[in-house]
Amino acid sequence: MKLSSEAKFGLLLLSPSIFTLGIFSIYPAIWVLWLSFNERVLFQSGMDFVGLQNYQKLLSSPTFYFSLINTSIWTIGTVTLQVLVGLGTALLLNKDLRLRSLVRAVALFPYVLPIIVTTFIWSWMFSDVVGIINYLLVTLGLTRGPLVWLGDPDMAMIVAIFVGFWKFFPFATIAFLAAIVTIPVQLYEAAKIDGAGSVKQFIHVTLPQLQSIILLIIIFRTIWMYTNFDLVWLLTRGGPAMATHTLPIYAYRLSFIVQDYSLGGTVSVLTFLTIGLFVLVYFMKFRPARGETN
Amino acid sequence: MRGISKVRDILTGMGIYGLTGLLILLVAFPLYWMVTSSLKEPTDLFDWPPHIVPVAITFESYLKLVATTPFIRYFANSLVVAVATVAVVVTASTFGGYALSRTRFLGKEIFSHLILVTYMFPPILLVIPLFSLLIGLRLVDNYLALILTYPTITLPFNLWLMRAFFNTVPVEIEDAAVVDGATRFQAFYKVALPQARPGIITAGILAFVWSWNEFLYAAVFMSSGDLYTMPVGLANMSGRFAIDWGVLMAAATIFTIPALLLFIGVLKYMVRGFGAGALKG
Repeated sequence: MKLSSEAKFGLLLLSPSIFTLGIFSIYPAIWVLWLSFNERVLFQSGMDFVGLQNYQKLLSSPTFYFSLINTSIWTIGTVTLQVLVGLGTALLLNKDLRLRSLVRAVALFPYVLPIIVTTFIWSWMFSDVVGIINYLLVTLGLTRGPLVWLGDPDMAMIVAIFVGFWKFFPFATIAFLAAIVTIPVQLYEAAKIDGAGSVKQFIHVTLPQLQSIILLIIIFRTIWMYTNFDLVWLLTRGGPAMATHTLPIYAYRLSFIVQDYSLGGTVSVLTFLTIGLFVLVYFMKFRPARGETN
Repeated sequence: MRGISKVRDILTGMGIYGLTGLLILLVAFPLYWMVTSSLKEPTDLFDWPPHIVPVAITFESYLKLVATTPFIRYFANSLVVAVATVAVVVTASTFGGYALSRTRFLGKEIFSHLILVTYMFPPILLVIPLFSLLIGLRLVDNYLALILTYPTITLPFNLWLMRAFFNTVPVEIEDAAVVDGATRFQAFYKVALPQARPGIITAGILAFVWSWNEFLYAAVFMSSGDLYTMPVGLANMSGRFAIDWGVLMAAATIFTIPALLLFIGVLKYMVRGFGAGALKG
């Protein structure tokens, strides 16, 4: 009897979460999977079951593969930079710097800077005619003339990766910083006694201690960059000449501009499935210790 | 030997401060450029070479922003949605996190894992079915469309965060309160809740920042201009007005202020909070 009243109490407290996640997260996720096996035109109530037709259509479309490659380049580029710079800044911010908390505050700020603001600032700085970046590059003699940046299909992805890295690296920094703080000082002292310099200490103490958080951050960042819509969309709208056309942008355009609900839904399901497959393989290969950050 | 190691120490120190300077420049210069661009004479923005320090400071761009765009309306919409989202997320995650930490019942483990699964659902996967669902509920073009869907983004994270926070609060005090005649709910509400305050603040601020930032749902679920939140309103502004950078930078500056204030408030909890919970960004 005691167990039952306890269960009631627990379920009562959980009911707002169960309600919210059930109706607005789990149900839609199942529904969109079902949608991908159907044909549905926006605002028409009926659905026609078409089996794998949507998938066949996409898997034979060059735009799909093109977007898949763009998404992969964007993901690999931004995640690599975020993890490397995030690790570097975490090590730096862990040092006894003067004004450390102020430095930390400034360095972590892009994390809360609204994405629309981020894309405005960098579009303005990368502006071709009067942008400050072109001015600096030309003045320093690094380029002969102003570059078109976001207007140039060869450059737009590089700019997008840079801005994506800039916006999100503090997330990795915070996580790494939280982990570095917990490394026992004795490990470093022992390494010092063994004659290890700072480079050796980093390789033999810091890196192994951070291994599981690094693997975890790579997974999280990969999922969120791979499925990112707003930053790329607000920066480039997927252009120019589709140079930054990623899978989430493809899903958005199909659904809300072309208004082909079911095909757009299928792209979003495939986006989720491809990244899910990656996560699965990654977990089987590396098996980061579970609950490491709890 | 001693001399060499001293030189090396000085060089290391210089390297550290050099890198720190570079880092500050990388983050702070764009913010500086935003603020100064919003305060320059609009015609000065197109001077070549650009003025790193403004030659004259004016609020012209701000006045133009308020006079010619529904900026205040967008700002109010964002505020309404964010505050309501915070209320939902904080309530649900505090109650739920406590239940996950303290109570034992059949299916709790399954539910915990289900939360992790929902945590992996990206907005781009849910936006299409949610739009259809909201049409069915006649909630499109209604604040509720965002207030009901935004919590799904941050709630999974915050449930785990709150669970971790309650795990650090000793259970004995609650047990003592129950022995003294308090009900289970009173023990939660009056004893455990006040102790989890840093967690509640962190959860609330994360929910606020997400809601303040969110673009995709707001762009799809709100089709009437009156209900645009700031990100959608600003994105439309940049398309409509042959890019008036002064006005855009003024809007960006004002829109950043609430996030900045909250960030300063939460910073001391941040490193600790992140150590305690899972991660999403």
